[in-house]
Amino acid sequence: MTHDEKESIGFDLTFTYDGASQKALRQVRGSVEPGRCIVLCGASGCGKSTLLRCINRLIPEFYEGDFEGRCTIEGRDTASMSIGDVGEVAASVFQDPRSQFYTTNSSSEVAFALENYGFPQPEIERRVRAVFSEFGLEKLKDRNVFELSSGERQLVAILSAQALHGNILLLDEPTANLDAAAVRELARVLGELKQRGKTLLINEHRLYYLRNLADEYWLMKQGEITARYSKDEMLRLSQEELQQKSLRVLDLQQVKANLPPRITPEQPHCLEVEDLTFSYQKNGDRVLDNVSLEARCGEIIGLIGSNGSGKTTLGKLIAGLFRPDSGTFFWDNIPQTPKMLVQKSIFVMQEAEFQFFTNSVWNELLYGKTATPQLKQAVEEKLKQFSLWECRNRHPFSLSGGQMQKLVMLLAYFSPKPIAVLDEPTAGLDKKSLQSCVALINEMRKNKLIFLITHDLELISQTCGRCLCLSTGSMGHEFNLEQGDALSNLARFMDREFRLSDNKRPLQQEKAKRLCDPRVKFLYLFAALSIGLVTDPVLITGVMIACLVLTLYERRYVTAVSYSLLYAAIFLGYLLAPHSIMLFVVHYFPKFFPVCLALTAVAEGGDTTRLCAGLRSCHCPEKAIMMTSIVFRFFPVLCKDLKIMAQSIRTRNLPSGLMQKMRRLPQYFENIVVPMMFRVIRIAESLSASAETRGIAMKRKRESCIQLHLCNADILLAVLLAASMVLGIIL
Amino acid sequence: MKNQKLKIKDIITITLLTLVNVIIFMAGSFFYISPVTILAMPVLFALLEGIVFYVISIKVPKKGAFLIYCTIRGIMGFYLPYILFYVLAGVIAELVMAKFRYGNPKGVCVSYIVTQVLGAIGGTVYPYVIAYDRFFADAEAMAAQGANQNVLAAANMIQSWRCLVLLLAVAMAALLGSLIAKAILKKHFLEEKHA
Repeated sequence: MTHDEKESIGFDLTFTYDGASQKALRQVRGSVEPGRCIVLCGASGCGKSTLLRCINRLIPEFYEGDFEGRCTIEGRDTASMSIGDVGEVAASVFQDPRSQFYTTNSSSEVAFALENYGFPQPEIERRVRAVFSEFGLEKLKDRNVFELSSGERQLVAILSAQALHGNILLLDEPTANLDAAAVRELARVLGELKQRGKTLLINEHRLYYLRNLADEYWLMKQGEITARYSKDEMLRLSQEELQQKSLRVLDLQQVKANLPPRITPEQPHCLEVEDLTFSYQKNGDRVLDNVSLEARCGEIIGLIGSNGSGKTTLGKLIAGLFRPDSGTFFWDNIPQTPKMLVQKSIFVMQEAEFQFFTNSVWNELLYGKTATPQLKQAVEEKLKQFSLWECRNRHPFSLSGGQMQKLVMLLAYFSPKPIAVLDEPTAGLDKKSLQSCVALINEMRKNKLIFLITHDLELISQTCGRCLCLSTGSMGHEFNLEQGDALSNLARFMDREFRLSDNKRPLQQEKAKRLCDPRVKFLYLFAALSIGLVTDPVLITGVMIACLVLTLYERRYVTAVSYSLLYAAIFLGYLLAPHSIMLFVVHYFPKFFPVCLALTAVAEGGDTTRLCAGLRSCHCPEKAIMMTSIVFRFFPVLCKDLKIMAQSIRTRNLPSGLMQKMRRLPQYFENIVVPMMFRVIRIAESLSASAETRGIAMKRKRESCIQLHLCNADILLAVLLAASMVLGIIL
Repeated sequence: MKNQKLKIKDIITITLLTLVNVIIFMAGSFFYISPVTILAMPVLFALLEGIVFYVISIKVPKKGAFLIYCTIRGIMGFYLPYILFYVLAGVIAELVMAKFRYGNPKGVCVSYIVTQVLGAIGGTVYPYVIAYDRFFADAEAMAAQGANQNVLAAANMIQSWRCLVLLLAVAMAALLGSLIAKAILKKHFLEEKHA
């Protein structure tokens, strides 16, 4: 056995990105033995992610550049392997669980790689079932990905990686978007993987959860591995040494309260919230239930709680972005409407990329303000303090994630509004950036009331005078962190009380689904599209009736009834009011009804598993199946993003309100569409990187994770469609 | 020389960017409110959809990019003539780009105008004309009784050679849309690329 065969991962390489003037990695050498857990740590931009990309072969195949040297996986030189070949042995999990998912169902997502690598259907089914149960995560099986929290999605991503039974797992900042409970669950799953002898290589800023997992820590700086610490050596590093190396704490017990002294704010404003209640849908579940609080300028209040507890919703209500169902806001004892709150508050979102509207960092900070010499000087000062001065002429979307995060914080800082709501401002930041944010937030409180929605104990310990805990939409415990050991009580409370999905409201018992074979539905869709070529009302009505029967068969009664009523109303409307417009409507619109019904049936509520299986069984090209899957997966996401974008425009006081929007339509359109496209390009990059590492480009014969069988009802429905069309044509 | 073959990343990028235009299209669907405003829809879309088209041209300057865009854009209209005309537009756009070179701004402009005009034929002119074939059969009596003159005027316009006026308006709007797209591209995307 050669030396190479004993190691899981080996590398000796140098890399420069296309168009970059500096090397991202300089003669980086390393070797990881099987079953070891290595943590790559260091400041943002030091080359950790680049190293992982070299190992999983995304560099140089996906991210192009000048690659020198070699990398081996289980003894094989990756130069002779594709990204998919490497992915079969070394699975990758990425930072953002929102954009690395390819399908809309958790089980299909786990099956995705197995399909790509050409596993037979029974084996795919067996492995998917097994991987959920082996890790005790059956509750995540067969779930709609839109229902899952970020933490749950990250766990599904790990299961998806493990379903292939590869020996190596490469994780790129897996906890960047996760809350404390999700981090704990992730640590458990990683612990199990390590016990099974898997090799783990983790790039991470948050280090505390790796305390019992890591065997070695490799410290990176400016594209080089500058130090390698064993677990014990690392744990012996003092707080000062960690800070010097831009590393975050290794144990949450090390976090000590370090609050700045109280200050007297420039303006002694006071915000009161009384009995706030909110639900996203009329008569839907209450996301917030009788929440009351009082806060003053100069205070920094932490809003904490498990995922889904209503923190962000409360923040958006305070910022006037939502209208409450009931309850009142008072600002200096004057009742406030959402419109008034928007004028007083700025909401900094988790998703930094939604909040940029101009073409440079400098312009972004001056946008919508009078550029006085004092303001320009202050902006320059802060940009220098935040190490963004060199980037002042760069487009905000060309910045790294950490730099974007710092820029949105500066937007809040330079906002003249007296309330700032900051949603997870330190997600994915290294120690140095964290400390800059801490300094800025503490400086902001001079003229602002700040709400900090966060799970980051290091941030809370240095900023928040008190923390309010939300639990299933109600205000729970309050922690006054200026008192003695309140911080350790809070840490214990978070560890004890926060659970993954513990705020998930019980799902309604779903009625047993009765679904027609997707291939029959394709016939319906094709028939419905074909009748668009004609205006014969008898033929259109015939196909409409067949589509209604299909809808009723699938027990979508509300849809069937509403479409029938609308269809009948058009004709009745014409009979009762024979106006030329109604006459036009009668001839123009009915042909779209069967299309909508057939399309709703094909879409199956957005779950593309059966749709893709149907397309595959019809020998549809794999690339077309891929595009179909992406359309269904991301159409709802982009629609939701559009709403977030509109909120972002409102909180920045850019054109809002119908008249203002109409007057400044071109600018409004640019403000909406440009960030949307940048976001889409980012999603495309992370989604395709994730899909490539799971073998999407492999040229193997694929089988779907489910099997389709035509039953008698399917045949009857197909006959019904044919009969209705024939009758329509004859009559 | 860079690989001109579409990669998985390219296909995903085009698909997602096309969805942005689909969302713009759906956001404008309130124009279906009246037979007259329906005619304004292709003009409006020609003004607004250029940005995505141009972004695709710089992000994925490869053979097949516009065909994929047009196919998805057409299918998401869920109307057979619209789909067919859009696919045809995609084929023509590919031929135009092959002639001009992929990424060439003039070629992109011509392709965009072709796409919008053919989209207008499939999505507006065709359904309007066939609806009006039947409409006119029933409308004569109504016109005598003083039917809505706007609708009839719109009908007359679309029914005859005068529908060319509509297509010309779409082409002009597409040209203007191209100029808007180029300006936005220069402001945001080309500078970002060179940052």
